[in-house]
Amino acid sequence: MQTFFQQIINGLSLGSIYALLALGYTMVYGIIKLINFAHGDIYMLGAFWGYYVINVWHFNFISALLSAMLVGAASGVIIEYFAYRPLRHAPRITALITAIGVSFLLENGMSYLFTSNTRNFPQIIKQVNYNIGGVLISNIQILILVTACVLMVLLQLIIKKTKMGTAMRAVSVDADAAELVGININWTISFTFALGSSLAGAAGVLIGLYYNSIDPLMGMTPGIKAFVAAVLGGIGSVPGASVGGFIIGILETFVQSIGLSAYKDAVVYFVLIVILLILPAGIFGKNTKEKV
Amino acid sequence: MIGLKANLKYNVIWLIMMIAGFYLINTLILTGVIDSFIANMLVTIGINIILATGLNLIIGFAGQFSLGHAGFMAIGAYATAIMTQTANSPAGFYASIFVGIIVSIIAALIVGIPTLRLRGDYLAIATMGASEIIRIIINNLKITGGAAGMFNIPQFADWPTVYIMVCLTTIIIVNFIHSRAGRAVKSVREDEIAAEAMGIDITKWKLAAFVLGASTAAVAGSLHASYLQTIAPNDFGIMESISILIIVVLGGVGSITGTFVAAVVLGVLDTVLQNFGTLRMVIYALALILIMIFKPSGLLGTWEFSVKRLFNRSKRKERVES
Amino acid sequence: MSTLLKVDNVVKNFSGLTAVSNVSMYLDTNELVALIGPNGAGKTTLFNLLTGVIPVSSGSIVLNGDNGTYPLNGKPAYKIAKMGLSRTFQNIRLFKELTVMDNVLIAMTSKVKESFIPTIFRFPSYYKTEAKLTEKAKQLLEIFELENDVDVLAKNLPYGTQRKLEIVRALATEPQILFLDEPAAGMNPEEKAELTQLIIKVQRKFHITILLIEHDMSLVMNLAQRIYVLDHGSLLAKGTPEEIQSNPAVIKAYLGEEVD
Repeated sequence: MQTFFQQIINGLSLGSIYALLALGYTMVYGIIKLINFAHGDIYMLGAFWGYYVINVWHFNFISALLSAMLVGAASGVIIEYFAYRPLRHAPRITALITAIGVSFLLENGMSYLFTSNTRNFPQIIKQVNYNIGGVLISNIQILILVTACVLMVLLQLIIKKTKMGTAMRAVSVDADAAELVGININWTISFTFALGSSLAGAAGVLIGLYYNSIDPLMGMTPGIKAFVAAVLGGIGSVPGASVGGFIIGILETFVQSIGLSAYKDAVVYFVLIVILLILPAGIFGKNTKEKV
Repeated sequence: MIGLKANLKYNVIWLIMMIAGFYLINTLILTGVIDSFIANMLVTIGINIILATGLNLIIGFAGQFSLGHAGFMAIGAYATAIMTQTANSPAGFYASIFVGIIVSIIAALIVGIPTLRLRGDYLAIATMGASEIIRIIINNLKITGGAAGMFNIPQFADWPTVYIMVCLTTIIIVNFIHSRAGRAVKSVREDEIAAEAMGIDITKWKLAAFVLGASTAAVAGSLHASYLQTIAPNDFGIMESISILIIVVLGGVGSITGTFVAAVVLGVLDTVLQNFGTLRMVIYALALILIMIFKPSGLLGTWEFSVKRLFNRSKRKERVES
Repeated sequence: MSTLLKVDNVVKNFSGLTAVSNVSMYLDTNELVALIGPNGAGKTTLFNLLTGVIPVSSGSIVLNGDNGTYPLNGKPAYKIAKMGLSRTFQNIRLFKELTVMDNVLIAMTSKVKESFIPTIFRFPSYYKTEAKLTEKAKQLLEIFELENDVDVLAKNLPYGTQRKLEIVRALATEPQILFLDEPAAGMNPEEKAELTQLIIKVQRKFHITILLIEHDMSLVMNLAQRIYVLDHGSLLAKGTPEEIQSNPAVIKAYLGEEVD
């Protein structure tokens, strides 16, 4: 029972990172139907930014996190403006390849500029482990969980309670109709990218603290996993992305704990396929039937 | 009405072009114009053409977004690597290609029957997952050499073998597309409900395209393993599936001619950029983004080269002139 | 005359909502029957049930065709099509990016057997079947005066011609029963008159049964031998055009709607 709760704690910590990333995928997909392959790389940029400002400018955790979110948001908006906006009416597969190109550009650009070495993330918060009934939980894990949850609640408030959130929902249902009622489509899409990418930036700093190592290619695998989480939850659904992220995180740690760590990704994909076969639009997704 | 004879004529012209191409490359190699470096590039381009035409059949003609092509390639590669260890002969090599095809067909059926019900991006992510499962299984088996992969695979695939295989797989896929089967497959892409109402068994035809694409990917995998003589599970990851997809989209989804052009362009680009070190991938990425922004439907869109059209056009010209 | 299609107590529920309730009807061989009713009466849903696009919730549909008696409910749409039930769509569903010829040839897919190897390696038998199919498709297209448009992409045809092509495509499956879902929608009076003639011609030439959904009453009264009236998912009336025209329930249902 102790190991069970231990795995739940570990899984939730990892899952909250996936969830933060998955939210960005799901929001962007919801609004422009694009799998933003470069999203995982914004998370990498966030981690590198955190690394830089903590080492050079001696930022504390909060200011590193907030500034990484700003940097993430700015990169998301810039990428959308230059790479995706010209392709808004192009075939979707073209936009997808462009997103892959942007991802390559960020990964290799960073490798080129700052070498592809792995670096140790500065540990600004000293790790303290608490033993609660035999279950170990570190202050960093608590920090990650709390930060992720606060950000998710904030996001939900923005989407549900603000004017911009309403505009986002309107554009994702019907962009043309939204434009007719006076919603600025370009602004709304930029805002969506800013919001999603800021979460990725935050996730980058959090993972740096958690795993203590960063490199230019670090966004690739978590990016794909987070996308899987978004699909699992029902792509386009905000609660779905959070739930999907936690499911994947917990699944991974459990498979690892029963000694099948070599197969942990295979299990994730297998569960994904099975869920899609039962619920073709994911757990929270709406299954739209074509009208004849 | 085009008679049998006319069709025979076009087919003979195609055959002559293929043989001419072969002798052209052969002569250039003999005279030293093509060195081993360029020959390497040609083989890579050839293998990429086989992979991308198969994927174009699935994505461009059947309209099914698959992101798992590398998994089927892995099956072919490992079939050849394992079998030619003991059956170290050309016959063993060809038998291994055959086995690779059979295993990949079985895998494609297992993956395709349940997942091809999914649509669009959901299908893409499910096929990507299935392909990753194949790779992870290979990564953890003893017979496949685990994560380190396999070395010293006997080299039976030289450039003539690859050339012939490119011709063969292209003939099969192009003739499939231009037939009753191809029309059925395209109708599924256009409108599943209307296709069903016209008596088309959509599941069957989606599967047909998927299985045919997967089996040609296995052939490419066999050639890859035998030519490079070294393979590892990581060669067949998501990135490989994506780079095949890039060829398809860059050339034009639904244009086999475009796939050829894109495979050549990217192959040459890759070779030229070798001198740029780390900057290589940066330039490659920028080129990719720029081409997509300025040529969103790919280099050739859905345009196809056709001997028949070429002939009819020149005939029409003659008629006008006379 | 014998009963070709027998529909008994067909019901369709969509998550609690009854779209079609207890509809029973029959079609005789060589008959031209119309299905009318106000918007939202469930006409297209009934078509979708009969052609297997959506499954029935309960009830039975039985085909009593050339090759014996077959229950159709629960069968997938492509099998029902192969058994000889073909249709057009209210919101035109052509294969837009394909040529007119391909659109027709696709409907003949299940009519021929071409095996893989002869197709791939272009045996003479392949060319023979292709030539035969193309010839047949051309003959069909000629009836509708579309023979000059064979290489045009379906999406580039004018609207009225697209409707005609849908009928050609449906005929190419060699149906015993043809379901036409508002074939005259969006046509001008001349086009409608031409279409009326075409439908009569087709029915005589191919000896098929036609079930027609149409809003244009003059067209329906001219063409149909019998009429079923659907309202709120259930049958309101049935009978000859004269009977329907004088049926008080029908007049009431159509009150406020155009009856010309």
